Amino acid sequence: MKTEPRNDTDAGSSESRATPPGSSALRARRQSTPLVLLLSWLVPGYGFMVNGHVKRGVYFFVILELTFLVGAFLYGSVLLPEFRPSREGFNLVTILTFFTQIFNGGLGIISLLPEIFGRGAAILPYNEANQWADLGSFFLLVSGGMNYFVIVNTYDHFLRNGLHDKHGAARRREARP
Amino acid sequence: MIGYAYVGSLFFLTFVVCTVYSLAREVNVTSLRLARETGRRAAQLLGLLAALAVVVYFLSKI
Repeated sequence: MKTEPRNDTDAGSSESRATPPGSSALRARRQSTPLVLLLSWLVPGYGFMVNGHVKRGVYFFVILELTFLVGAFLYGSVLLPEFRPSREGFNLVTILTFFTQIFNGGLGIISLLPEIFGRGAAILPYNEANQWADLGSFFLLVSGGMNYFVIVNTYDHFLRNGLHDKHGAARRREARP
Repeated sequence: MIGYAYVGSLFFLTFVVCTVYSLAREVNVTSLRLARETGRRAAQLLGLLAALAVVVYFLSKI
């Protein structure tokens, strides 16, 4: 039976067809699943890069970090919510927004710095009262949510069942009765 | 001015969401099919948002 050739955006490269010793896919096998997921959180697209989909990982990194930075320069920032229900500012929506925005990883932490250490620690634009801040926060929300989605897909495609390579998902499908 | 920025953001964020979704979900596909899937999803999402905007507009008139 003729099988359809498996293709990819990085399909032209020899790296996508074989995993020679010392390749990124083999390096990923040496890293534990929680470590790959943690690094995928800090650097969007890392999980794809380390599993042989370098181009795709770079696309994720560029798209998500660009979205974050557009939001940051529109004065959007990750704001620390009120977690105590007895306090006046307690709001479930702001808590959910915070958890989604913090999925931006490294840049999310940088954006959170002035909330913890004061305005002096601000590296990115920080002014929550600015008229553009709501729109900027929405950009952060979208990039954080999409990074969460990328992390979940990294686990789904490469890390589940200990298959740390780019064809893991395809192999699992073939193995099913 | 800010209203135009919101409309522009709608298109930009739709592009981001659909591109990331297609790139993450469909690992072993050609670039052309990926672009087609992204376009199809973006059109669907924009259509849905436009329908929601119409509903919200008429609800605001009640």
